[in-house]
Amino acid sequence: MRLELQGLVKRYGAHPAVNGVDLSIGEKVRVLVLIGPSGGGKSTLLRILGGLERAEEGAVRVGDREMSGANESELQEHRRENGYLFQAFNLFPHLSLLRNVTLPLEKVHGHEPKAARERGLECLDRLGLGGMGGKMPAELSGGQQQRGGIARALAAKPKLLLLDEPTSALDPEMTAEVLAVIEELSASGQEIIMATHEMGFAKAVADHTLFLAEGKVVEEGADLFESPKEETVRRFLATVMRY
Amino acid sequence: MIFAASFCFLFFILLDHDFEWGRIRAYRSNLISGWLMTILVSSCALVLSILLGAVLTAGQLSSLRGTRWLARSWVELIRGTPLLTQILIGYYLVANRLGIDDRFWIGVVLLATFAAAYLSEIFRAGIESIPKSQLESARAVGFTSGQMYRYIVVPQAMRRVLPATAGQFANLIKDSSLLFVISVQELTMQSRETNAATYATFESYIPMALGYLVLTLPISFWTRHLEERFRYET
Repeated sequence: MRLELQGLVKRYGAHPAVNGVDLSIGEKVRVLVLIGPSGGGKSTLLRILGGLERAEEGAVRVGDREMSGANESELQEHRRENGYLFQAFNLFPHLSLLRNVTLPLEKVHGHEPKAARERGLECLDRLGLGGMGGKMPAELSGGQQQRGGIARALAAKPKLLLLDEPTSALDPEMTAEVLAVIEELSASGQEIIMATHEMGFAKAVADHTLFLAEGKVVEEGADLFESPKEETVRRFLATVMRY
Repeated sequence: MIFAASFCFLFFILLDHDFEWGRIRAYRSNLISGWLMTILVSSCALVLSILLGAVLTAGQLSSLRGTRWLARSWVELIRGTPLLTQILIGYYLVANRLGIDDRFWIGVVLLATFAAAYLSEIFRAGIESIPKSQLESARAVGFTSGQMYRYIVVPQAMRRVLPATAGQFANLIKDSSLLFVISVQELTMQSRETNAATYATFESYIPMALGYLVLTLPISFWTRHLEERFRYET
């Protein structure tokens, strides 16, 4: 993936959620992981990269797309090209699981209903949800719902898959089943940017890791887990990986 | 207590009365046609009120401040004045000035305008009750805002507002009784005329009350059923 960020700032009211982020990520990074304390700016950065939020200052380039000056329809185009998964409540509760996947394929990506259905079933199968297409989201477990959300995001063959703490609302067993899916995706070459609190998992899949705190990149690197240089990062990792 | 006392009082009055249904026999067909007119005027008004209500809702949720203000003011104007006042002004001032004298359609439009203001509040509440996370997800999958409303927000909001909308239809049927002041030949009008011609007050007005109840009670039960179903589903 190619990401170029310069002097990125995003405030909510007076509070700067992202406060001067510079970043340059090259082609060889396939899985970028954002870690750090809650409120450190991970979600906001992810939302900006996903085209859900606009930066107030600075330049953002994702792939070939210049995001800083993009108008709403360009941002929408960006969202169509990429997949995004929130912590929870991704699925539309009034639609069956399969319809959740096929509706965007038909209405956003212009697939014929038959082709959308085939693609939808294929994605559900891939995520271990074969035979569940007819179920309503309320009939699925949290882990199944998240996998359904990933299926929907994958169905349109996204360039980038952006995952915002996809397991933080799940219990350990469901967390494991969702992480297994994400691991498989990363192994198959899908480009992923993921904010997470699952440090063991982050360490296992990340090609490159960003540590964000107070809206800034405190440290980044491919071997951030093995040899953190900054004291804040060392302390954070020591705390969260103690148990 | 008061309710029980009133009920008993009404019951004894009815018990005490010596009904002579023969006195209104000649007017039976008038009462039936009045009842059918009540159904017709309420149904037409319902369809129109849903359309007007949707327009007012769109206005209230518009991103244009002027449109929002206009829709909001209209809703407050209608909700802040009695229906009777609106009927009198709508008929004697507006329709007369415009040279329109079709009482049926004037009645339909006035009723619909009145109900639309309430419906638009119901619709607005329904739309605003859809969690923000749904809108975010809809944006994230790449829907335009039109698609977001069409496929995600409105279908969910509609299920939520169905009970209240059905309740509003019952109100509309009852409110149509006020159209007698502009001589729409509906149930109340026919019942009053029957009473005026026969002096058989009980025999004229009891069927009138029953005529409304026959229409509103099923709606009321249906509304309750919908509410329970919705509670179960969520």
